[in-house]
Amino acid sequence: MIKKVLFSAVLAVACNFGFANSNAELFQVDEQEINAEFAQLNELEQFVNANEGVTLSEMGTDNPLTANVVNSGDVLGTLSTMGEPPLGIPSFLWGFCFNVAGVALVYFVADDRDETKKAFIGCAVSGGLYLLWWVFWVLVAGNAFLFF
Amino acid sequence: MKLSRILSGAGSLLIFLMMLPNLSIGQHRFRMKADFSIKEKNQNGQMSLTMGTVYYDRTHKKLVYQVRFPEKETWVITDTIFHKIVNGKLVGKQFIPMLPSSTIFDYALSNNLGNFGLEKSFYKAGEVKKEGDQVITTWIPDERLKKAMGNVVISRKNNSLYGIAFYSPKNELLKKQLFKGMLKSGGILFPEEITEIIYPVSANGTQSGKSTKISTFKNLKVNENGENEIYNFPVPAK
Repeated sequence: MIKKVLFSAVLAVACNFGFANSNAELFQVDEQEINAEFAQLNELEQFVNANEGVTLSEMGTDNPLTANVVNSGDVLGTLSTMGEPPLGIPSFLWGFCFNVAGVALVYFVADDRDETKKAFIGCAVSGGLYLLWWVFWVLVAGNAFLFF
Repeated sequence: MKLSRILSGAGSLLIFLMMLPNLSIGQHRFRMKADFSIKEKNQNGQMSLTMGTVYYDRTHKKLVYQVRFPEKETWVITDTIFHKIVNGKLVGKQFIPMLPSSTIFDYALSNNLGNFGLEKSFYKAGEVKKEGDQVITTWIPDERLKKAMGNVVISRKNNSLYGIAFYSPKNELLKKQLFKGMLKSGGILFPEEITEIIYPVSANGTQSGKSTKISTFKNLKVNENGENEIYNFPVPAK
């Protein structure tokens, strides 16, 4: 019995240490590694600052500073640091998916008349689709059933 | 005579105290701009650099990027629509799952950056732990969204946002951001540098490799007069 208690205690302490380590390490980065990785881009940034108005296409592909540098066009990826997409779920979808609860959430959280209006439109569209579905199944399909 | 003076002084003081809330509204921060640079290196070794000036106005709900590198163009985000404008012409338009009001610019202006705006979101604070000089809070999504969204872990150091980590509903680390240095202007604090490490999930659900992105900001200006034509950039029809 004592062995079991001791084993459980040791296990619990070990788990706690493991969790604490993972959280402590979560926000640590190897700055030297990052600096080395970004040396070329840092140099390119300095070049752009020193040469006002220069663009990537003007620099050409034979410039060593632009080796492996692309104009990705992935704006969503580029801007992802500025805002988190899940938190920016369109208000329309809140209303569409969660109906009145979604409208209420947008109303209380966003505290914005326009956003609440969009959530309400989403709710109305969702309601309209449900009504059409109901009309089809109950009135059309139901009446058809009466003929049999 | 003396009594009337005292009454008059007390009346003035009362009026001043009643006006205090209005005076604080006068301090309302509604717009900001900053020079930015975004450096990216993805897991395939490809790199990109984007530089320019970002403008955000809470009244117009517009996020405007005047990009000068890699090419000169203007990006305007209104609601969830991204517009790309080159030489005054609209050359691209696409859906972007980002509201200008859910960005670090709005959080900074509304003093919600400390918790990355999560206080006013569909997340609620869960476990809070102190580890060394970091205070780490786990934010949990609304019960109805748990299938689509995972936890968010926020670290604060010296009462400022230090790091944020986003998890999938399966508790896989999707990305983390580290905030370094703070710019001060017009009574707001804004990160000088954000290092973001993304752990991509492949189509078969496995995670491999990482992409790193460093965003830096400088020349922060808050509530600046003028440049209204940029803060409220008119998106051309075509």
